Amino acid sequence: MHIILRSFVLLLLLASLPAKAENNTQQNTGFDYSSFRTTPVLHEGRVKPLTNFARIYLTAFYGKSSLPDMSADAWLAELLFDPTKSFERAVFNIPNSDVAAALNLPWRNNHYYSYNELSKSINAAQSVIKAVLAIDDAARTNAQRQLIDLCDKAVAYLLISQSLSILQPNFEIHDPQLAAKLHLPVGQKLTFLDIFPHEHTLLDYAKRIKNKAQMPTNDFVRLITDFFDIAQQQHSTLLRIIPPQWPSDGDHWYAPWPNIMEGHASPHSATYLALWQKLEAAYRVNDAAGWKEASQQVNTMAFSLAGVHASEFRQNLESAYLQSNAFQWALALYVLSFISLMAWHLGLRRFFYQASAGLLSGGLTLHFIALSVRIIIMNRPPVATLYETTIFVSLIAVLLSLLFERKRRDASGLTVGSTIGAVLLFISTRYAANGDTMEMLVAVLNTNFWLATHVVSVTMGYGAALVAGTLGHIYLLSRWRNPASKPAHSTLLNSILATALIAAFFATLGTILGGIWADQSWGRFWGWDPKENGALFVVLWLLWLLHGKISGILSPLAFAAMAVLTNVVVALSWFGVNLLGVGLHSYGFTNHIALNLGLFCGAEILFAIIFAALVYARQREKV
Amino acid sequence: MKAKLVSLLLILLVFGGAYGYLQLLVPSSMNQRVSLNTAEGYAPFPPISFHSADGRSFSTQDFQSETVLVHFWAAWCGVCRSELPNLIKYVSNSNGKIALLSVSLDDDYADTQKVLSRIAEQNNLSLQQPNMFWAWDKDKSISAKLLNTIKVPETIILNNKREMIEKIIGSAPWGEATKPAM
Repeated sequence: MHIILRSFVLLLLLASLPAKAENNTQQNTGFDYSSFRTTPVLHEGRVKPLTNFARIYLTAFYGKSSLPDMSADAWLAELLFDPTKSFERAVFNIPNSDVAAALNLPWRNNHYYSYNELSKSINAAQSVIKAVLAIDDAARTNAQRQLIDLCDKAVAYLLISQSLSILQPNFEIHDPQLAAKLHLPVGQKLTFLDIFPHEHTLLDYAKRIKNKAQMPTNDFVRLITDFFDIAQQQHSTLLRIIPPQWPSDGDHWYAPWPNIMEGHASPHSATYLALWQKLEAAYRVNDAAGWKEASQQVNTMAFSLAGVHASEFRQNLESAYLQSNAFQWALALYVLSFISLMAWHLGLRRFFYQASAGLLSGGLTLHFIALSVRIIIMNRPPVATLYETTIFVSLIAVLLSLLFERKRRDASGLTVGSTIGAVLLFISTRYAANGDTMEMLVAVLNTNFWLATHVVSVTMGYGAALVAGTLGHIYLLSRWRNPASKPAHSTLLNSILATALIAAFFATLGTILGGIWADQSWGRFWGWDPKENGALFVVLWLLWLLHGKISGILSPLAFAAMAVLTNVVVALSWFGVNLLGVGLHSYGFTNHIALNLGLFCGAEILFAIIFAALVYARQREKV
Repeated sequence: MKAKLVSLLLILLVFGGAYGYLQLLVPSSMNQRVSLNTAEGYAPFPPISFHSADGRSFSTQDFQSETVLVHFWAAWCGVCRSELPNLIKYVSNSNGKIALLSVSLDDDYADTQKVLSRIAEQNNLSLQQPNMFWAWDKDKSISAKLLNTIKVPETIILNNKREMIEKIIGSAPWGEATKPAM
């Protein structure tokens, strides 16, 4: 079934001609995309601004959310309104030379190819692609998988480009007799929407020609060929810009083609699409003022039409959030804070310590604002995907570190905060690389109360545990470098103890709340699911650590070394259980991190063993 | 320790506050919108002037009936031809409560006329009633341009305020037992 579907879309790709829209040779410069980018569209189950739609697809094709010389918004406008030009633009990133070779594409250093190049190569390599499609998905090599993925992307590119072709002026009738028969004007630009209502008469005319009752004119042949070519484009359903219009539509948004061809149109959606036509006309003649006016009208009408189905406030907020790249700025501030702190450690002036504290606080503020905005946009706590937990855990860790720094003022908090903040936000950019789609959740997760309590609590536990673990590193390094400064060591040890206590509290609370949620959702409190075991692992580890320290079984050195391993425990239960690919918590699965996780755990264990041994050896020497 | 607890409480308060704010925000962002399918009411059908083949004009406001069915069809469409007798009977039997604004999308009105005459004759129906109007959208300027209706049959149901309460895509049985939602 899957293969049939794939073959179908592939055939669609091969059978389709590029849109016949006239080529606009001018560069559409000076266009204001502010209204265009906030216009709502339903994508992946959520109403989002067009700019998010554009970024997701551009990232999928190009690997980045903007082109060197144009924004994602401008790229989408070009693809929709001037596909011919867009098809020449090198936006397909083919990083694997084997894939390029399979398609007979010349290997380029920048790895970028245009749609026209790609579609031609796919056409020529049909037999190769069909052979790969016949192989079971699991048995395909990496290059084969990438090849099929590339074909799917080419289809998506084509489908988006055809989103508005039902409204584009692709036809013109010069034959007065034919025009009169169809009640259509002579010599004027016409759309598929103008021609389609006369399909019956057009087919009658074709029948008369077939029966030799009438001679075919060139005009007729061109009209009927173009008509059937463009009729194929009705499979373009990706750009769902038309909100539900009738009670029977429910929550379903429609792309222009199915909206009209399947009968879901209303007088208001017709007015709305007429505004899109106006927008296209302005784009076609490179009329910046007309574009601005039309895009504002489209935007206003879209929200009127959507009613309860879209919030203008949220769309604007989401657009601003995406434009701001706030997490990247926060990451930059954390890195600068770390560099500044290192400068201070190396003996430079105290100014660098203050600068580091200032930069970390600035990063935290930005991080916090961005996360809050995200909560408002998604209307749920920001802890539902691995990407989100990463940014949330790093926020908690940086916040805790700053609080410690405020109390202790020994730079340990700044070191921990800037390190965890920078590392985790950097990791999060890897998860956002496929486009931070801000996707909807699987049903079981879509319960705000439990997300807000169970997951927030567990992830706060993770954040605190990471702070304890990183403080453990500082303790070991400090004992190794300055064995004499005992008060500093004891302060650090107290900090580790305090953070471990906080971590144990939140991890335990979160795990118990999770059990209650599981009881409600799945009918059992505990099911030995990998994620549950992971959470239990963290709780037990922290409890063991704390009891060991309080009872005196673990010496300060052993306690600190074990605290370092807390990072390993957290990483395994946070990311590691996702590698197993089993269990009910199957919403954060990822299979690309096994190696990195292995390296991280290995490095942490080595660090703990080596530095504990070094410190221990020095301690023995003294005795 | 006290300071730590206070700080943690603050974190919880901030996130809880943001969440609570959102819960308040949701309803407030959902008002003051014209929408077709909410409790706020239905959107009005636009004041369109329909024309008959002999040049008379008519709008949905000209009917006295409680409900108006704006029905699009064409003579070449078999489904429309089999639906039409039931629809005419249904409107005739409503004692004037339901009106029919029939819009033919044929390119040639002779085709429409032929089908209508046959239906009237075979089913013994009167097509000239005060609650019926037979329009012809010759150049599709109403159906395709103003309403984006290009497939037949389709029926838009209007209430007494001439607001659009539903659209029936395709044919409907139009019998007493299967009244559409009116």
